[in-house]
Amino acid sequence: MKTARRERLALFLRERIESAGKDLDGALGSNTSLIRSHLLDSLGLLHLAAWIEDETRKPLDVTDIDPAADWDTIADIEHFIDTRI
Amino acid sequence: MDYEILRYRPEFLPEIAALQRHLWGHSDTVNTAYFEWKHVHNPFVSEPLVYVARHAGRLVAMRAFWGMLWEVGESGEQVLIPSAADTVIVPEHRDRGLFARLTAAALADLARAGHAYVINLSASPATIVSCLASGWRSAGRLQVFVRRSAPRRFIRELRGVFRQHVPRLDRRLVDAPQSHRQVLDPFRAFDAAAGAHKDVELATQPRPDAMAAVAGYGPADRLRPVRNAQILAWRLSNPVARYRFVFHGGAQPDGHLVLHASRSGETVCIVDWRAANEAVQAKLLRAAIEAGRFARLSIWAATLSEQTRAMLHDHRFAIEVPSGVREGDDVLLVRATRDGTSHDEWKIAGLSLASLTSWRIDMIDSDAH
Repeated sequence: MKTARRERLALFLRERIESAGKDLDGALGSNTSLIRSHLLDSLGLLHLAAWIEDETRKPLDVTDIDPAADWDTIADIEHFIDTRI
Repeated sequence: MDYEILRYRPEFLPEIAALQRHLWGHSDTVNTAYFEWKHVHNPFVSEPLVYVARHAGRLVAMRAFWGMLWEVGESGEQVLIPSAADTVIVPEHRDRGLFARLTAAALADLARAGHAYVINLSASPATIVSCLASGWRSAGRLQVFVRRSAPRRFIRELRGVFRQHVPRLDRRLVDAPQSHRQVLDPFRAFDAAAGAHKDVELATQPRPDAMAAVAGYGPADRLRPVRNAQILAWRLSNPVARYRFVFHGGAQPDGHLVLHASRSGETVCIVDWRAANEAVQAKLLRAAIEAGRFARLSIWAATLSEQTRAMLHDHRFAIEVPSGVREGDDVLLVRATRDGTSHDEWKIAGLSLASLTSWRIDMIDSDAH
């Protein structure tokens, strides 16, 4: 189940990054930096937040998130979903 | 792509007015008037704190900060805290890192000018998330308290039932406003009621001198906006805003309540509400509710006193929590202009900026109103 979610997340991120005209330069790994490396822009971050809400079917509390720390990699996002939602 | 980040110059104004069609509205004339009011005639800054991105000879993005003056303590120590606003990026240049570049350039320039902190009271959903990813902190929700008229509440409940069964049809069937005329002119009932109240005056124009004289612009142990007649006269001359006023106390008012209508007309907000005592405060609120008969009346309640919040509950206001990030949220975002400090260290006169308990904030302190 977690593997399937990771694949959906990777697919979503790849599409977002490529639609923004950015070159992923190979694989999108579990520890590829998304935010600190600027692969995700402001709109990309909003789409990621919405993706997390859709995936978990729970609203995010924007007053309680730190995207740079919580969502910088696929591994971070998975950890966030597993432990904070 | 190559972008040049520039500080505002007067020759940019026509292009900015056109750029802001993406955010403010379609009229360049109105956009120009709004820009001049907000940034050029802002009483707190000598020149606009506006930053633009230029690509291939044309402006493609803008990020601005409007001056806001706050004070704290019995002595009224004053500090200018620029407030982020007016972010716009033309569609073909979105997702290119421009928001981050513009913000970084602006923060560096503001730091050089001696501004230690910035805030944001009107962030869009995308701005909230990207700010939080780049060093801003949420001080907390401003807590939108909403009072819906009875038919509106019924429609809302009906909408919930429809959504369960015919999700595609619900918009057409139940989102229609209860009264088109009231939505087009949300102050129709309010204006018609002028003169009908013996205790209060319902007005279309502000009285800045009298309003500034009303005590109670926030407790001394919090950061509160500086108010005087000059500031109020400027603030309430926003060329795109529709305001109405309720005064109590005759020639020398001892309380006032300011209402603002959203551009769509579907929401009216209490943006400022001051009174010498609780009884006057209650009279102002009752008069606004009875005269306006607004479908949706809202107010930020997070920094109000417990007594005032209880008064709102008594008048059928209830907190409204957003259903998700797409809907956006009314939050106070705070940031130091320089990197390298923890938000625990962001303080003015010993007050933590990253905590809403340090602030007294009303909707009038946001450029969204």
